[in-house]
Amino acid sequence: MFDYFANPTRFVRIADRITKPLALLTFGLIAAGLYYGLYASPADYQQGETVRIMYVHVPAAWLASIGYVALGLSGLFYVVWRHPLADLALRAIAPVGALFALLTLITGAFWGKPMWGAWWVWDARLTSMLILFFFYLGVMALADGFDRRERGSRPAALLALVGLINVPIVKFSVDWWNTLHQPASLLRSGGVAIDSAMLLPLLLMLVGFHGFFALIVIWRIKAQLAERRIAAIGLKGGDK
Amino acid sequence: MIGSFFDMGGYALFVWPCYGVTAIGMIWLGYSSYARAKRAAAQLKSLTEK
Amino acid sequence: MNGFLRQIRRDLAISWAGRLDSAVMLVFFVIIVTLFPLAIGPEASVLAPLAIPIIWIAALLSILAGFDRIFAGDVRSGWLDQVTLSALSLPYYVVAKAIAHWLVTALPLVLATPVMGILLQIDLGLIAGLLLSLLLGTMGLTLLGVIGAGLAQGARRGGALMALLVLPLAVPILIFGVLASASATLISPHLMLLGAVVAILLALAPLIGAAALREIDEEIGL
Repeated sequence: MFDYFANPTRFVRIADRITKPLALLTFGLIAAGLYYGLYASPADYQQGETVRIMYVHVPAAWLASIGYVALGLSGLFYVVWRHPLADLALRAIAPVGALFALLTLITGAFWGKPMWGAWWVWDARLTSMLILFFFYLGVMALADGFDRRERGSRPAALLALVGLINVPIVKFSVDWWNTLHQPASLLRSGGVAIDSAMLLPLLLMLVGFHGFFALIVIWRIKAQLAERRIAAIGLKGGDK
Repeated sequence: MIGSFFDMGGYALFVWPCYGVTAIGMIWLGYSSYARAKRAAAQLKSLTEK
Repeated sequence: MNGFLRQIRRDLAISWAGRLDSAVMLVFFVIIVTLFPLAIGPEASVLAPLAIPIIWIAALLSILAGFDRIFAGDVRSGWLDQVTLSALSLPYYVVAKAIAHWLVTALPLVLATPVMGILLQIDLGLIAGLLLSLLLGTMGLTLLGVIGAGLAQGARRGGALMALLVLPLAVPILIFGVLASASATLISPHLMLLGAVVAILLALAPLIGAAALREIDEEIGL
């Protein structure tokens, strides 16, 4: 299936065709999610209106978490199968994953303050997300860390691969650390009883965020393909 | 009624910044990615249509 | 095997010739440890529980500081090209570099740890556990080092970038290492988890390091 997209021209053609419908779908889903999330859904019995933060926090956390898998797979495709678009995908995915990780941290803090009384708690999931955020930054810094741009593709792909194996280990170790250092007085609000009325906006936002992710990655791959061809033309001496 | 919507049960200072930051972040990334793709495509077009 | 041992011997000889540089890293470790009581205060009751984490972090930072010297010399002098043309395969070269680097950088550090512990008012009964965990943990950190050094070799902010790359991945080593050091039993579940992480890195580092170095090799002169 991925071989089908290996041809850059074909990728651009397909991307051009699906971009508009995808953008409309994404916008629609998120708009509907916002309507239901902010307006047409009940507040939580325990958490009150702050439960509405969940509708952005959880999708962001989910996408940040699967983002590193997508990153790792791109790395795999680049290093092992030398897929021509894989390093472009890698460079496209990293910023989106990083953004969602950052949003998860910020919305998590804003959710935590009314719930736990503190802007930041060393909760296992938030701590893992913080480390994941640093990992995304590392991949981005490595990919662009060389004077010659393409030189960074392989190291970044290898790092993404290392992350595929090591990020689960990091998450496990942070869980381990957290259960052993569990502060006794901390209010654990992990279990939000999901009313079915809350499920709808959550799913709308979740799917909508996926669409956003795909949209950004497509745009960024297109941009890089065009930039690559521009650079190649420049090397060949302009309008030959 | 509108007032209570913005008030968010007293949690306005927590809920709205969340949505605000999320919106700003996503719109910024979306716009810059879109603009970059457009700019590159236009530049490529002008180079290849010489 | 011949080439492998020769590579280790070569690195040890080079490090011995520049032993002042290696000594600097040991001094760095000692100084970092010394800074903590200066910042925290001399109270034994406050320092003692922090002794193990402080030593671990000081060890981590000291080892990190040496990463950009792992491959830089061989790349600059063209030795890496020689290696790729020789019978020694790159993964084995990477392991050899890791071993030499550990012997030169981490081992002195571990040997200095008992004294550092005393400076931090450590409970003396914990020193054995601390040494065992540090031995294992520093091996893991060194393996992460060859990964980071290989990946960021030739990058603009090489040394800093290597540290940035490695730190998120070093978290499990730090967590399991500190827990293992402070554990009541010498062979604790924490130590076994630390061992598992090091084992995974031992499998990963040669492959990733070699893949990264092959890229460098194709960029001769850059």
